[in-house]
Amino acid sequence: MLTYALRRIVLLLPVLVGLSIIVFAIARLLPGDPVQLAAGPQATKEEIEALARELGLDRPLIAQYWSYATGLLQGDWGQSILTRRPVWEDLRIYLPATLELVFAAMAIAVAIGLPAGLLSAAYANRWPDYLSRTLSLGAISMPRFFLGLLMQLFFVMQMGWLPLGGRFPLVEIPPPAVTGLITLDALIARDGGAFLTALKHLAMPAAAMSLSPLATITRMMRATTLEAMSQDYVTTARALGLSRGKILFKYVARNAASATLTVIGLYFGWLLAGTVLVETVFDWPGVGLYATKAIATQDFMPLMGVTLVIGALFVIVNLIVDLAYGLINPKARYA
Amino acid sequence: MALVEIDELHLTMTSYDGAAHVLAGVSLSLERGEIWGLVGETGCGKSLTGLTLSRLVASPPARYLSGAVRFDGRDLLAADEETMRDLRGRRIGMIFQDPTTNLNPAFRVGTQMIDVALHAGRVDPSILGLAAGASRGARRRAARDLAVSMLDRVGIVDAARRIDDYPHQFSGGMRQRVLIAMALIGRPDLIIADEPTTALDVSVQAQILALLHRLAAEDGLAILLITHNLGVVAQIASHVAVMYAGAVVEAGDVRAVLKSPRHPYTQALIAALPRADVKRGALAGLPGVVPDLLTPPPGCRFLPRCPIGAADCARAAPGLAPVDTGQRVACFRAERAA
Ligand SMILES: Nc1ncnc2c1ncn2[C@@H]1O[C@H](COP(=O)(O)OP(=O)(O)OP(=O)(O)O)[C@@H](O)[C@H]1O
Ligand SMILES: [Mg+2]
Repeated sequence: MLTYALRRIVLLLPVLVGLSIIVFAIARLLPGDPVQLAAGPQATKEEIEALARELGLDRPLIAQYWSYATGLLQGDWGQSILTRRPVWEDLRIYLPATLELVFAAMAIAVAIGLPAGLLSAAYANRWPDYLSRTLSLGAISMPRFFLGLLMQLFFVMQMGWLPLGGRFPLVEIPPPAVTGLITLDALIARDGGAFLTALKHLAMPAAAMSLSPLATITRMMRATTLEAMSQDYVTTARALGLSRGKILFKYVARNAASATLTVIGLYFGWLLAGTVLVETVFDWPGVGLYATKAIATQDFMPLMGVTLVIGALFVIVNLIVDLAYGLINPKARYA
Repeated sequence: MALVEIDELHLTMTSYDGAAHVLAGVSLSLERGEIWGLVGETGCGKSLTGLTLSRLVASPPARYLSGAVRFDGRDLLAADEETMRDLRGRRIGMIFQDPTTNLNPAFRVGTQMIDVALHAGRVDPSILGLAAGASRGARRRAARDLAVSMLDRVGIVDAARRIDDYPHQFSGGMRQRVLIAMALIGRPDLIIADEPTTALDVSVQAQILALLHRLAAEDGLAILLITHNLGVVAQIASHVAVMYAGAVVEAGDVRAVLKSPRHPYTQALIAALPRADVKRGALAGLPGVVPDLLTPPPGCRFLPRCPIGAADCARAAPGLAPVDTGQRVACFRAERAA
């Protein structure tokens, strides 16, 4: 298992290098002159050239990539042309916000989706199954931002239970940043009040984000459970007297969950890349918002940074899923 | 009283095409210590007969029309699920064809065996060698010890260590041994083995059969061994029942049946030897094919292919009746077949 994990981690390196090359190439191939844009419409030719030199954009592409790549390793992810702040520092603020959102959404989706799918299959074609299938269909068809707006109408405007948006009240002091995930930091600081506040901010955007993975995980879990229940080993277990509950919750649940795990990993990456709408609706200060602004102003460095980070996270999450799959499914370890 | 008694069992299976009369008067009885081979062509109802004994045939689509299934005097068709569960794994063990698919690949073999042992121990605490109120931990330990000793008994070397291995770490034959150990863990009186060697290498088949034979002798087990292969029957069975299209057509002492078969179908089977596998296809000297069970022929189902059949054979289905050589034959004209 350990050598398998190490081998997979080593294999990760070329993938990441490739990713950085692609990101760099795409950024350079995009139309539009970022220097011109940053310098402003009134800038003279000399001013533009000076700025290009300052930003290193006048050198050959290979050299630019090389300094970009070595910079990445030293934590120098370039500067945002617009904010004139290091991209790395921006990411250190925005990325944890997005991660917190995605983690929370996935936690909701997994915590509800796995049992719902399992029960759906256990009660196939009876009312719990119909209920869960109807809800999943609804969840898949409902646009995330629309659910977000509905929730805001009800929980904020109508009931006044939850804040409209943001991560944490500006007037309050957040718990000291350790992980960057405010809920987690509050727990680390043993600050129950801050935890609750952060949770209240997180609840609606996370719920809106969780909708589509929840539906997919439920359906996938239902399918894999049905598949597992039709296996010979279930007949054997029944023939040797194990109860339906034991077979379902101990044995089949694991078989089915390990098959569902792949979907969970895929969805994780998909969510990371797709937070923009929800972040906009809930004014959630994550990379989605950051990237949108960067796109609007053709600010290359932040865009490259965001793409790189999300791409890298995507690959790493998939690795983790594969390793977890190996833990759950002993056969894969030797593959 | 016989340990197992199946008496004139009729069962239909409903599918989109309608209700197929797949068991049409199956009669069989097993005593402790007997190894019964149950042979017949594919689709004749061997597996269903075996599953019925554990009441594992899903209903619907199955429907029991008439007949009785008794285990140790108990009417199984009337038993509730709880009663059946107390029998399964404890008094009735089952072994199936493919040892690769019948062990759960995601769990250590020990986990799976221990759960069976715990179940059997719940039904009968003496299986674990414990008094009724033993603690959870004590039961788990006893269940594990029992599992190890069973693995040891079926010939798994270094059982105390191998018990923590996953199924894929065993070879096919070893996996089947594990499944046999699992079926034996509750100290059953009856083992139903549905083609237990079909999926194994020829060299391993003989070892598994020898193992079953030895265990049956040691424990005084009754075994219902379902197989396509008359050679297997000849090797280890003490008795044999031949099925055709949902009914037992000949049953009795294995020597009597193999040496002087009286049902024309059995005769054709044996004539087809040494190509001992009766799985499919035309049998020597037998025209026609197995009837469609959705619309079976009236009377004797074998009539359309029977070399000695007469018009009255279509009037009713023949029941099993003893013949001079000792076995029982379901044929109106069996004496002529001699
Ligand atoms: N779940 C089911 N639904 C419908 N028909 C079924 C079902 N299970 C079995 N049957 C039918 O019942 C008949 C007997 O099946 P069974 O599995 O007992 O045959 P078998 O003698 O064990 O055959 P094989 O040698 O191929 O294992 C077959 O015609 C089969 O098509
Ligand atoms: Mg069968």
